[in-house]
Amino acid sequence: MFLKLRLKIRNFFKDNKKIIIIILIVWLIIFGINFLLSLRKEEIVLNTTYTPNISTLDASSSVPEEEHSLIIDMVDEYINYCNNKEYEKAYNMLSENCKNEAFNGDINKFTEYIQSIFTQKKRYSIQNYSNYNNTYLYHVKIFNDYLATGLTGEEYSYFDEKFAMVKEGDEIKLNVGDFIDKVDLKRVVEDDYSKIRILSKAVFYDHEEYLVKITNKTDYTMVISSVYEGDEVILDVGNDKRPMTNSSLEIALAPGETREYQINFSKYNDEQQDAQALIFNKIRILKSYSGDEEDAEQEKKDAIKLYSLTIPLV
Amino acid sequence: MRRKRKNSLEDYKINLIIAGIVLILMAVNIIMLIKYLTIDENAQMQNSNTTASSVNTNTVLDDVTDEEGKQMSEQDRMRRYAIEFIDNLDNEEFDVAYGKLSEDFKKTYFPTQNEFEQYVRERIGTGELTINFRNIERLGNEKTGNLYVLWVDVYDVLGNEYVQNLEENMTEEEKEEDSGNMNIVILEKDFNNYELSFSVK
Repeated sequence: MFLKLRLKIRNFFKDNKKIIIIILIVWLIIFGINFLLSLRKEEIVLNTTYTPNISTLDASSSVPEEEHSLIIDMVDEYINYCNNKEYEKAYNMLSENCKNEAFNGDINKFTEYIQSIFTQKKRYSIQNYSNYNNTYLYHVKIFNDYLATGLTGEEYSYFDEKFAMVKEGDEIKLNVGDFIDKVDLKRVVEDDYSKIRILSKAVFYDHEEYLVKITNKTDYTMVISSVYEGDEVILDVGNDKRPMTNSSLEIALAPGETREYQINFSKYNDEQQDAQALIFNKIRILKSYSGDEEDAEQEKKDAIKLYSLTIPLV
Repeated sequence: MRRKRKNSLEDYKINLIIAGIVLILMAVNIIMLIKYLTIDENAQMQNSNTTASSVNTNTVLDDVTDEEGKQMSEQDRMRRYAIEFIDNLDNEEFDVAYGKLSEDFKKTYFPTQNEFEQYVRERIGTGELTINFRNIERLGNEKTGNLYVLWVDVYDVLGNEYVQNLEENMTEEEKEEDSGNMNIVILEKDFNNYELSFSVK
């Protein structure tokens, strides 16, 4: 009974011995992997809501995982150098832009800055704030060594600053002092009276500094900003028009003169709206200019030309 | 010619059977994997529920395994460490409490255990201490460990003769400053692996 079937099955196994063995081995391997996976226990780490590399401004944005330890190590190294008064080593960790824009390329200025913060041994905490254009912005709190003092005789307070990590070639460099980036703008506007070049802007966390080169093409004095008038130079940020913050800056050029000025505006880096235009709102080509507020009205009455100039930034 | 056709039909059948076996084996494996993953997820959900209920029933001081301790919330762990420290003082386990202090803190304020013991007896008290938590702030730093600053009130329920004597000559403002307000600063490296300091009056 069933002899034919038994023979068929035996022949089948005989003929396909190799394939069957291979299938069995593969199956056993898969079974083994499953078994090992079920045995593997995940290491339990301390439960914490602290996520230093996820942006607080936009939780969907985070620093790439491969950069985490590099950045954390970098900040730790920098703080250690500052604590140990190794200012040159700390300075060398900064990007060239940061050295030049935030500290005028002067290590002594950097040293003064660090000494004003690190008056004693400090600790720090770090949290990713925002990320854009390969720039990782971290919120860093620098505070006294509370573990050593237990907050004895002192109030809970900290120095608050933004550190930006930027790629300089293959290296990641540090921007401190709330300096974030330098952008070359190279915007030029020229008319019969003037040539104005917006060379660059230095972006800090809470303000922007525009480097402007102005040429007076006339035979008269050109006044763009006096210390006694308002709304002379304005940054157009969408619906908001902001006056320059270095209000004591006088921009007055003699006939044919060319000069560079640094004009600052209040603007937070995390604002949604970018700066749209720089407006030179009250350009005066004057026959005479005394710099006195009392004479200003008369000088304007005698002016060769009064006009406004808007230079788009986007 | 006919034989060849017959052979090819048999080959086809055999291949079909083999493919069937392979498919069945794969299905068995997939079912096992799904079962394993589902069990794992359920276990995790059960774990988190356990943690939540333990928080609700306020059992930060219960005996917990290392794994359970690591799964506690940061706030509960800090409360646990602070309560343990105050319990050490309360039970006059000064060597244990002294061992928990940060080395730099000890150097500045309590170079010897005797000095620490004397301070605790005079200014904090032992026997019936109670602690109320007002606020906890984390200063995060993965490199050297998270630092937590706690604002607490620590009182000797039975009163402290030394403190009472001191307060007799104090203004209300000074009394307020000298009351149970205290900061406890904790550096946590791992569960139950921490050092601390506190504001000295």
